[in-house]
Amino acid sequence: MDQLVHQILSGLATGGIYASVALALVMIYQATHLVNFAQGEMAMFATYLAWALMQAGVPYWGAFAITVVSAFVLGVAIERIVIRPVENSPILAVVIVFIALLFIFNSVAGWIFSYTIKPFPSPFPAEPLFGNRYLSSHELGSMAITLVVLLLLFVFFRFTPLGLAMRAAAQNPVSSRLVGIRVGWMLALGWGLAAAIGAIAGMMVAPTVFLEPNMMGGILLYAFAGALLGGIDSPGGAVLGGFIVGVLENVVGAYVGTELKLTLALVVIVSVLVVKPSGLFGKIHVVRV
Amino acid sequence: MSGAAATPAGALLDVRGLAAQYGPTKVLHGIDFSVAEGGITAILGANGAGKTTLLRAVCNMIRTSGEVRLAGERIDGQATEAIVRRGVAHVPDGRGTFMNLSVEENLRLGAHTRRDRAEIGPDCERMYAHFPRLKERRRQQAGTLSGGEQQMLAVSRALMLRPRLLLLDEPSFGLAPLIVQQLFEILRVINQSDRIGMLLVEQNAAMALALADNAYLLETGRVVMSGSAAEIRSDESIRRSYLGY
Repeated sequence: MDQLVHQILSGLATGGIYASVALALVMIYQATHLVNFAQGEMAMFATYLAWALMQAGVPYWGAFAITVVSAFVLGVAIERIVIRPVENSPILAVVIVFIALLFIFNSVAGWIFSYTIKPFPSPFPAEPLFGNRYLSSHELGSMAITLVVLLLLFVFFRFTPLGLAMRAAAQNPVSSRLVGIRVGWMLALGWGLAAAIGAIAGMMVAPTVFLEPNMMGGILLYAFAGALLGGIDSPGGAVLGGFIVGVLENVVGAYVGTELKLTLALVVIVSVLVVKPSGLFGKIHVVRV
Repeated sequence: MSGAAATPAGALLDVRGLAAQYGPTKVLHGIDFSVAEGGITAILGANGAGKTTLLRAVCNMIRTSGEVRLAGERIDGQATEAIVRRGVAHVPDGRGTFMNLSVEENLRLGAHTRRDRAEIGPDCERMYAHFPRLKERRRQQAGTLSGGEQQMLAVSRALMLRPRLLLLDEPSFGLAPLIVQQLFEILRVINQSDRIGMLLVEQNAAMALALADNAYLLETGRVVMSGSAAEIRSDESIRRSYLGY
């Protein structure tokens, strides 16, 4: 029983990471109706930036802040420079651009930082917090940071005029222009936010998976499974889906076998697509013919 | 009443030689018209005459050529959102509802470009006073509203900009006759109290001519007749083809 509680709690900790990345995927999906396959590699690249800053002597939280801001700027730049020109191209062209970005970030990171695995520090103390027996302080701390990020995003999108304008621009660009919203900039801002969320997720997961150019591959897959499970066009659903996948992954890993962890993500993806493509909370799209 | 209506010197909107096309298909062939400061101009015409295209051309939603002046300044070639920021609100064809957002959020989006944040709440209340149905449904997803309610929402959202010029594309579309009466009465009140100029595109010629000061008749992308609303109303051929008596 103790073992199960432990597995569930630490599943929630990794689930928080998946939830953040799933949310980043959903934000891009709502604007482009495509999954940004490069989301994970963008996060990995940002994590390397944080590592390089710390190597240069910047303290952890300073490097953290600089990385989040840089990731935001990089996300905006990618939208304006790379995505904007192919905005009205066929879906396949845009997907190819996403995949190209994935490989570009991966190999550039390998070229600059090499493929050797590097340890990445945790900002939290080594001994468990509050004397709890279940979670390491890094798990607890990263869960707290994830929850704060998700809460801030919720408040931003729900209660600020800019958040409202971003939601409007993603849903209905034509009407948005007619009320004076600069739709192009809103989409770029969405990319910036998604990249910043990814960067935080990357820095939170790096102490556990270690830093290397392929570190986000599996995480993107789990996040995608979570986003699909919750509903690819529902931000709240994607977050919940990310947590569910995190717990499932941990429990299956502990009781069935670690070999099946990644398989589980694929099973979730295929099952959702076959049984309920709209996910738990997604909209069911009805087309009038 | 042949030729273009005389252009008042201080016209709010003045359009010269406006042409527009969808791909290779020309829809408007060099149109001249104007809206006086605080005036209401109606554009009449059958389906496919180019009325919706004309409104889209004014705020540059499609490829156009010709001169469009707002209060004397050229706005043709500017981005749609820049034209909106100059005070041109649009009640578009198909209503343009933000389906997944609440009624209140739709209204607030109408005021997106305004800097007087404190005034936006009271303006929402003014819209609710005009259309109590919207107040009852303020927290509801706008996509769940009936067609008529969405039309009221579209008009309210446009007014939330506090525009100088309101472009109205078939505001009577899908509304019950009684609601149409109310809506046009509200437009008249707003036009008089706030001095908002209006460019009204309508198939309901009788209602449009009762509200407008002057009118233009559009046929296959050309202005074929123009004059004061009273002149147009009394024209024999208009009466037979568009007013039906």
